[in-house]
Amino acid sequence: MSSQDTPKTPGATAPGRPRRDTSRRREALNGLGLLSPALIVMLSMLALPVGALVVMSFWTQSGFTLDTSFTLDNYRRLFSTSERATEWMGMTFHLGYPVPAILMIKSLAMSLMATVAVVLLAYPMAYFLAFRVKRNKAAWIIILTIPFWTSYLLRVFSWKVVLGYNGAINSGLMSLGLIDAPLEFLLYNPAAVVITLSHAWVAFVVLPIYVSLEKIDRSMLEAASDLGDSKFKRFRRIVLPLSMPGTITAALMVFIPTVGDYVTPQLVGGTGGTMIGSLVQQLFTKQNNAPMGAAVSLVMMLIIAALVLTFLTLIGYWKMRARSAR
Amino acid sequence: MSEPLIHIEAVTKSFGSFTALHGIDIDIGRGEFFSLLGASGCGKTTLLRILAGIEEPTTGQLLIDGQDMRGVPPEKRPTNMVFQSYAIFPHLNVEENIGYGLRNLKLSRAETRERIGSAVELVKLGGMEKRNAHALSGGQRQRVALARALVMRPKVLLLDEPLSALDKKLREEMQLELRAMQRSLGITFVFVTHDQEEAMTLSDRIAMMSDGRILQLDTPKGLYERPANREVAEFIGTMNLIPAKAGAAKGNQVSLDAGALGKLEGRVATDVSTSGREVFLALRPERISVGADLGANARLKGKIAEAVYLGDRITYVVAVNGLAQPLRVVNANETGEILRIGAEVEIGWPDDSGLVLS
Repeated sequence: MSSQDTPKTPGATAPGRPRRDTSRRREALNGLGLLSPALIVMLSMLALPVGALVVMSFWTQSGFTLDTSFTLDNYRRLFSTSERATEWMGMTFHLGYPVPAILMIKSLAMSLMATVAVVLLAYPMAYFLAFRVKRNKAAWIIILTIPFWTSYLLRVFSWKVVLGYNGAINSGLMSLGLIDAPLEFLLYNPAAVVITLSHAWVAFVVLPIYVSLEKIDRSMLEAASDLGDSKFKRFRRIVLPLSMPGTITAALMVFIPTVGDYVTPQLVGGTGGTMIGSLVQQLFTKQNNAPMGAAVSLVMMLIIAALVLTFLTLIGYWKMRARSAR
Repeated sequence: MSEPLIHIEAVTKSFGSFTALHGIDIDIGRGEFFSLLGASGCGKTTLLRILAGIEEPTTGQLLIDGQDMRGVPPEKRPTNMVFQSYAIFPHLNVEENIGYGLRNLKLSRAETRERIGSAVELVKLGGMEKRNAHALSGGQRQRVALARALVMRPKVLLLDEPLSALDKKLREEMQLELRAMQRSLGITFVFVTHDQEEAMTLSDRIAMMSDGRILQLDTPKGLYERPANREVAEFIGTMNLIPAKAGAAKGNQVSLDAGALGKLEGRVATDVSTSGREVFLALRPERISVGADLGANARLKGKIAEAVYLGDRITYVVAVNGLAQPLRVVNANETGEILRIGAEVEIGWPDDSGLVLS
């Protein structure tokens, strides 16, 4: 197009356009205006802290002084190799600083177990709620959320009471005469952490799975039966695939935060139950090495993000979501 | 009709204190296109779902091909259904949707492919086999739902208002296709609709339902020409009703006293004695003729209140003294002339056109 063809004002050729442009701009401004409170909160509560973490991870701490000159030392230390081999659970690590890597793998495994346990517990509950409960659904949902009326900390503590040395299980078994001395393997180990995490998160997962089940058009189920499916087959071929996106979303809602959890491991995990979050917490507090803590938590975030994205890509999550959207 | 394919006897259905069906008796023959017609909430869909096995009747008996269907779940019945919402499985493509039920028939792979292929062809979805269900238009979804049911080769195909979600043109096209398909396949169709025109277009016989009862079970012609009562007459097409008191009957002709309108005569469809009862003389708009001078054929006098020119026909609303409801009249446009609003006219109809309804 030559310069002569270009109209001086856009309105010269398309009379409708300028007006539409301004109204669209106004709409965009309106949208931004409506979003701004949330944006400000997100920026100040999420983006800024993460930014601070990134900056801090390039600093170093020596004794009581914080060296704010830019360096990759923390990352170098995390990924440094060593001749000395560290053995853990049959795996060999040739790392100069193997603790974060080991704790990361352990945390991922424990979170994964907790997530699987949560989904296995929550799915039947959600199914019952969506398909069996005909009346008073709201009441059932409220009953499910009752554990959430107390704080997370109290719920974790309550497991201490159940699993502890003088706890409910031990005293129950002793009063029944089944054991002579309290069982010590119940508390302060990875299993206790997994149990506690599962219980703490189950209701968070019931609701999203319930929504994805509730969304399934009942006539689909009737159609499947009409086409010869037994109840079980129909579940496998219709209900399960259609509720999969919601279930996966719910599972990620458990997996992602529990990897970094440090409260539960500290309270019920003992020394054997520590996770990566506990290390970060210690680096920031007891070990007084906040820059290293920042580096560890950033690497943890990136690893989790990479794992989740790889997982979702492998199972074709976005396609699945698009297909079951309607 | 020889031995019926579907035998419905004294079927009732209650949901709690609400009775959806009161004692339904219907026999449906092999290869018949049978429609259940009625306004929403009349129980037609409930009856269809009882046939499919999705609902169980509260009392009564249902036989399909001589077999008692009590306790037989939907997956074991020789019926398949096209749902009103189509219920297309969104996570499967067209081919997988159509072949969904075939997996349960344990056919050879070749036969499965062949059946899907011919079903795809039947509903004209060739070339779309791999398309995702959510990328289909309403009409295409309807075709997939139809193919998915037909591919099972059911003895009875149940259709729950399958065309109501389509636009008018597509609906008319699909009506013709459905009718042709039913004729060539010879499968019994049970079709639920609230659209009387659709029912008339498609069906061999129609059961007109209201409030969980069958008002009349007849051919389209029978329903139109010999409606059993006022409700049927008003649901099927347009009907003018003139209130009158029935007098003596001579054969099936009854003399009527229409008060200010004088003596009239009407035909009774059934053998029920109407003598002395308050009845209606029912007249179809197209059977009534109006004109300035009808001579000996004139029965009533009136005044044109409204005239609408529709090209092939002209509709009039004619006010008649002593009649609360003006008469609606449809006359074929034979001369191109239209009576002017306000004109005094004479109204007449052939002897056998007036029907006595209670």
